[in-house]
Amino acid sequence: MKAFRANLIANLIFFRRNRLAALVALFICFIWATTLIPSLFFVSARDKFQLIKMLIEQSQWFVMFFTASLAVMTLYYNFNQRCFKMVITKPCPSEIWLLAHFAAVLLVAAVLYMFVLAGALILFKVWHIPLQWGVFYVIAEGFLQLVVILSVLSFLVTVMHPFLAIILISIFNEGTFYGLLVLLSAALHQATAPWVKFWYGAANVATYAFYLILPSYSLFEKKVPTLHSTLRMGWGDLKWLGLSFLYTVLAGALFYTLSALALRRRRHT
Amino acid sequence: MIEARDVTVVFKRGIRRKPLRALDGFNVTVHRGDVFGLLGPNGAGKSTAMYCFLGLIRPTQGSIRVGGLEPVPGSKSFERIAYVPEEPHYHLYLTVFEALRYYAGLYVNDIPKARLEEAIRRVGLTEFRDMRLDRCSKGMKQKLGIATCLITQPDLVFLDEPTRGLDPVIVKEFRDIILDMNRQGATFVINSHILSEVEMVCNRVAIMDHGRVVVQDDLRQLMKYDSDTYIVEFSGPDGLVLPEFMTATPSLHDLRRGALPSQHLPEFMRFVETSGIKLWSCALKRQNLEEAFFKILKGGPMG
Repeated sequence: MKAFRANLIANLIFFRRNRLAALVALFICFIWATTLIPSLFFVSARDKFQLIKMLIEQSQWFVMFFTASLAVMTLYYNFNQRCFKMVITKPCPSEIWLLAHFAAVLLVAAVLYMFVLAGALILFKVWHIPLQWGVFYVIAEGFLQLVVILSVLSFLVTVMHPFLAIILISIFNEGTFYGLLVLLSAALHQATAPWVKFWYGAANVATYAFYLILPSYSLFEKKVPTLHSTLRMGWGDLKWLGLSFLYTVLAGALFYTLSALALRRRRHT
Repeated sequence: MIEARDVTVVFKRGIRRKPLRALDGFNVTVHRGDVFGLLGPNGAGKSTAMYCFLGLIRPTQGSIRVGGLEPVPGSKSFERIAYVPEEPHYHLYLTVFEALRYYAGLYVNDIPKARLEEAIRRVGLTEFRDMRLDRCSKGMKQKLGIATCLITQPDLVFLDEPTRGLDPVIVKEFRDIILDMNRQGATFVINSHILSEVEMVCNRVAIMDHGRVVVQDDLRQLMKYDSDTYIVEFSGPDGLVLPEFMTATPSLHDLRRGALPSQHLPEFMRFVETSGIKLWSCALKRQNLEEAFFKILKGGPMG
């Protein structure tokens, strides 16, 4: 516990003092201010609800981008500056250090999500719009998605250069493979020559396998399409949030274990 | 305290390049309470050996036991171990005080602030306590490592080139702290190039070359008297012709200093009587660590 706490505090100090993180935050704030805030003052009464929805979506994306940057920067700093060697030559297992890293990033993410939620609630109140409970669902779901993304990204950064990790997570995600599956299925349907059919079929199977293996960042989003458009939530929708939570715990545990194994195998001299 | 038996470490360097044997049948024993020096030329395998002791490198062959256990990074056994690296890879965004609280916090729960301040004062960093480590000199960072040791009071301390690049004042402070901690029971393993430093603090040394220990012994044993040579100091008239078996060079206060092979000692004594020179001193030569080091590396283990 002592090692976890010491690492958590050290990580939070890193976030506070990191100039690159500050720059990312400033950049996000600038975009946010120039694109979203003016619309708060010029929006018609009818579009206010749509604007709240857009604000939540955009803010979630910003939080994800910012916290993912923090996660990458912390790991890269520790590996590149070889600070990690200073930690594991003390009674602090790499698993605890990794856990503290996750906890610090998620703590920042949780605080930022709270701000997003508070902002949305304030706008509901100020604009006299009846509160839709789906707001809580959407924000909780966004947080769970972020946990999966951070765990995958952290694993990738432990085994490769962060630049490659970011490219990999941006390109090779379930969306890419889903699009590829659709294309291949169409091509397979059109193909007439047997050898072409064979190759398209093989590619289709391989792509499907990759599609299944890759972690999903929004596994049950399509199960609640009306919730996302209307922010109206029924009790039955909570089932999907529960399943999302379960999936996040499993995926997070899997990628945490993989990261811990990769850290053990990594050379720290 | 530390037992390394037939340790071999081979680094693979790609498909086309030959693997590198950093350690090749490395054997060493460090006893509790030792201040043990690991010496050797560049590439002898000193740092690799230290990384093996810390569990940062797993031997390809052989076994290493530290305090009776196989070293595993971050394990509980590190509660009694401290490591001060050659190039301090500290978290540079922390201040001196925060870094000490962090590193010591990995060992001890809820350290009183007064204890942290006392350790900072002891290593002379009080006025720099709020300075960020990226603005601190190498010596200050090394002092921080020692301050961590002072708080955690380890049984075993690994120092990798601890005084390289430090000024003589800091080196002296460093030495005093090492000797003080050793008196309180801490064992030290020091990897160093600076032989005079090792000579001042170590009681046992191992001299390494090409990944193996060439000699491992008590420092006094290594620096024993050379029974083959006497060092003589004498004064005599100008133009004095010395016997051919000895050479002399001018020393302080018109004295001359020369090396005398021991088998010619009786002849030299007769020469003193007959030539009328004044003999000031005649003693068996005592070699220093540097001489022993080069002698060993050139000609293998000493008898």
